[in-house]
Parts: sequence; C-alpha cells; structure tokens
Amino acid sequence: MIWIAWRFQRSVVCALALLALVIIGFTVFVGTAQHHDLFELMSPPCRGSQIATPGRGDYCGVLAVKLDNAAQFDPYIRWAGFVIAPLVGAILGLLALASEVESRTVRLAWTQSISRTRWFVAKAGVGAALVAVILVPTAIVFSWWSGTIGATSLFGRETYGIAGWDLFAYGLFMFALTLFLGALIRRVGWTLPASVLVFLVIAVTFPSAVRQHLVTPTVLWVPATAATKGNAAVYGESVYPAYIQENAWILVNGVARRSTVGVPTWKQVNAISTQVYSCVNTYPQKTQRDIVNAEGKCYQKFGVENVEVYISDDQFWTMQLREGILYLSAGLILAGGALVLLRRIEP
Amino acid sequence: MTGDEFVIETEALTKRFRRRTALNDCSLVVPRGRVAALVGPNGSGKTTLLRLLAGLSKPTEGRISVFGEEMTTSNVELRARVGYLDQDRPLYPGWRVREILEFGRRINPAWDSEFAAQHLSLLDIDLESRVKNLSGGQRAQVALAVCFAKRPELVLLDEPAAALDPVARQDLLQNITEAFAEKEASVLMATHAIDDVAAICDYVIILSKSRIVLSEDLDYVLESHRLLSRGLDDGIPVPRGATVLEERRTTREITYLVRLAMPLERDGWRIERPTLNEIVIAYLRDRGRASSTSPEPVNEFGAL
Repeated sequence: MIWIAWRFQRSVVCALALLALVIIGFTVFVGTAQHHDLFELMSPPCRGSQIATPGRGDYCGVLAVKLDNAAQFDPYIRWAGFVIAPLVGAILGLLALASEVESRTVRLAWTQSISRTRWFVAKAGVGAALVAVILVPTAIVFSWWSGTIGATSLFGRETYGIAGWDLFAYGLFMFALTLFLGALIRRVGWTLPASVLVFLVIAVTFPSAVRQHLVTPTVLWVPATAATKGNAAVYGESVYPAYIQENAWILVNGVARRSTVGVPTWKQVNAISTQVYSCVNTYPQKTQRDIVNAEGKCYQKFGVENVEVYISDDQFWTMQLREGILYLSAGLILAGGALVLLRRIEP
Repeated sequence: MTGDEFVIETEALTKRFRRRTALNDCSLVVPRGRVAALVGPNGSGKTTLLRLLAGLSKPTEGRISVFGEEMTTSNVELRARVGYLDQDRPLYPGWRVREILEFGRRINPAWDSEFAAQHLSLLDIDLESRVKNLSGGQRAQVALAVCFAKRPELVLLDEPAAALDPVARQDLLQNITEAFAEKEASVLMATHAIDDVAAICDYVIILSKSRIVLSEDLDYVLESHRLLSRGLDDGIPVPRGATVLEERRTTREITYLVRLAMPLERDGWRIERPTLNEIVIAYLRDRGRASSTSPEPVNEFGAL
C-alpha cells in the first residue's frame, strides 16, 4: 500500500522537492554571503563601523553596501519561507483525498481487498512523511538564515514562522486541514481555497490570540530613577528605555501601579499612563533633568513604576516546541475527522 | 433453494439520494454459479444496485447480503471475494498499465498476475502504455483485467461491453463464459444489450422505475411467457392463469404477450414463443407493475 500511495503522488512530490531545493539553494547562497559580510563587518578592523580604516581603505564601507544590497533579497526569502509549508501541505493533502474522490478513482481502490481505513492511513502516512522530507531541511535552512542575517528578534511576525521548526508543523497542519476539508467538500477546486482561507485566518489570529500565552512572561518593575530613565537603547528604528530586554518579545511596556495584581495589561497601562503624563506636562520641562524630576514626582503621586512584560529570547525554542505541538495535535484531530468523514463517502 | 445456494440476497432494499429514490423496496436472490443479467432502462437503479453490492455505498433501508454475509462498506473479507467493474472504468490516468496491474497485485491476496498479463497481451495492449493514452475500449479491457485477475467468486459488471468494438465484445462475452464457468463463479452484469443476455446469461433481473419487476432463471422466463394471437372478432377470453403484459393489435388480429402461471389450454389461440427482447421490452413498458414475488414455476406451460 505504501508503494501505491507513493506512486500516486510521485511526480508531484518530485516537483515540490525541486521547488524546495531551488528555494533552499538560493537561501543558502544569499545567506552564506550575508553571513560572511556581516561577520567581517562586526570583526576587527571594522568592528561594526563603516568608516575607512588604515591599510584596508573603504573595505568596511564596501561590506556595508554589500550587506544592504543583499538585504533586498530578504523579503523574497521570507515570502518563500511562509509560502512553502502551506503550499506543500495543501497540494499533497489534495492529492491524497479530494483528488481521488473527485476523479472517482476511489471506486477502484475501495472495491479491492483493502479497508478504507488502511487505504487512508497509508495515504495520509506517506503524504505526511513526504511533507516532512521536503520541509524539515527547508525549516533547518530558514532557521539558519534567520540567525545569520542578525535578526534583532526572532519573535517578529516576519521572522517567527520561519526561524524554527514550526515551519514543518505548519506544513503538516495544512496537509491535515486539506485532508479534512477534502473529505468534507470532495472537490479540489473548492477544497484548495477553503483550506487557504482557514489557514490564513489561523495564521493571522494565532500570534496575538494564542502565541503570547504559550509561556509565562517575565514582569520587570523598574523604579522611576534618573539612572534608568536617563539612558536609551535603539532597537531598529525605535528608541526604548535602556531596561528593555534585548531581542525579547515585549508584550506590555509603560507605567503601572506596583500594587497591580498579576501581569499588567495594556489596558491598565494605558489608563494610568494618560493620567501620569498629564501630570508630567503640568511641570516646566526645559531640560532633560526637568523631565526626569517631573516624572519622579508624578510617579510618586500616582504610586506607579515603569513596567515591562516580556518573553525573553531564550524562551523562543520552548514556544516553538509548544506551538508546533499544538499545530500537530490539531492536525491529528483533523486527520481523524477526515477518516470519519471518509467512511461515509459514497463515491 | 436454501440460503447457501444464493450468492446475492436483498430484502426490501431501498436507496435514496436526498429526494430521489434510486432503488425502492427491492427483494431479489441470485443463485450461485449463475451468469445473471441486470436489465433496465437508464436511471432504473442498476448502477445503484451494483454499487450497493460492491460495498461502495450503504442502503437507506433493507438488507443486502453476499455469500450469506451482510455487505457493508467495511467488510474487507467479503469484498476480497467480489470483483467490480464500474461503468466509468476509474483508472489512474497517469499510470502505466503495468503499474495498474501492480496496484491490483499488491492489494489483492488472490491476484492472478499471469491471467492479467495474458489477457491484455491477447488484446495487444502494451503494458508500458499509459492509461490516458489508451482508447475507451482498451481502458475497459484493463479495468476488466483488474476485475478478473482478482479471482473473485462473484463478479459485478456495470455495462462491461459498452465501449467495446464487436470483436472485443464477443471476446469479452467468451471470457466471462469461460473464466467463470470453470470455477463456478457467479456474475451479475448490468446491460442494455439483450443479445448479450441471450448469449451468455442464464438468469435475468429486470429493473424498472427503481423496482424489480422480474427475477428468474432465463429458461423459466422464456418458458413462462407466450404470445397468444386470435382474430379480432373471435371473442375468445384470455386463458385462466395468464397475465397480459402487452397487447398488440392489427386490423385483423390481436396478440397478447402473457405470463403464464399454469399450463395453457389452446382454446382457439395461436401460440408462439416470444423472444427475450420482446419479453424484456414488455416488462419495461409495463412500468406500473409493483415489485412482486414471481409465481412458482410449473412443469409445463402447454405445448406449442
């Protein structure tokens, strides 16, 4: 039965594997150059600076330009990373069930000496294995690439999905989703858009609705002193207070009452911030010192402190693992649902 | 007959698709070792009945048993004993013929590779050809090879000769006769070709308007029907025990196609044997007839 399942999708699997190889090859090629240039730029004599150095001329400036030029490929690589997993899952899922039901070839298979359950388990099992064979190396390469380009945070929407093993879990989830919807709709032309739509809805809502709850966030209270408020750190194009954790996923950042029970929320922070900053504005603010003093007085008046709620970057792989398990569990449930529906199909 | 002698038994079998009733209260038996024909107009329920028997779908009401066991969509052991040829000949279009046979070999324990290869070789079908490049008749032959090579004890054929040329059609009928007579397998064949029925079948089932209107031995069917003719003005009543299926009038004569339930007395009638074609058409035209148990055969229906 494994041979039959493989034979059925052989040519499509080869085409998808070829596509994945092209994407992997391009990513490795671009990523290797980026990695080399970034390493050189950050090492002596450049040490992160683009200024010309004695004996090397404009070497550092050239490196910086090369990195800028290479960065133009980043959006394409990210786009390919986001598309490859659901694409592979959807196409193999369609082939495994909806296509066979629609073309009525199940009448041939289901009148032989084999049960529908065994037929489905073989087809779904081989399909899932092929999804894994294509996506595991793809996920490894994208994970490596995300690290080499010096992404400031792996938690960003444009990075998280391709920076870990979840790429593979997304592909398997899409495969199971397409199996289920294929058993329900039984038409390739409708199953594909329905699967894409459901997947997109989940992909868009999951980060805000579920992902941030996968691990317990850290709550950092910082007293309003000149030492902490006077320093600033630059992350990307934004300026943050220095106590903000580097590369962390910041869930909440602002001021809140120290007496707040549990993890402060944006709602609580926004409510008190309005009052605190109105208070600050009542004081003269000619110098930075004036601002710090005004904040100190107002913080004391309202009983608030700076607070940061964040998930540190060392939690990344724990989150990837938990999210992956969630997607794979949902995929298993969908595959079970597909089997139940399949037993009722009268082709 | 006892239950063991029937390969197929259905009892009050009904199949509905939403509002449409495809089969309605059908009860029939097919004795073991027979080549049975399933005859009826388009949409009469032949394909639905075959798919139910093949375990592809479930009845809405009633019972269906094959070899004395209930046929369900999950009864694999039973399906291994049943071969089914679908009217659409569903084969994987991108596969080579050799791969289709390999498919059959891998999932059928009783698969006869030699038979399949020999059957297709006799028909000059190249095993390396892709299914999508075969003609309709060749595809039908490949589907038949898969069906027969499974070595089933019961074969369900849905319009097996529909896409075949006259020679291939003749060969197919010969195959059915030879292949299944040897091992006492049973065949149920849905067909529109009454000539095929007369040539190879020994049992006939007529479906009309989703109901079974006749299910009998072919010989008995031929023996229990007669054409009775008399002059228009003779005024002789239809004999006792004869049920009129069809009436034909000319300017001078009236002819009845009747079904006999008891020996016939001549009583001035001119008696002829109808052809099977005439009998089938008479039943199909008489669509108001409800499904009923056929009368028990009698020894003699009257000499011609």
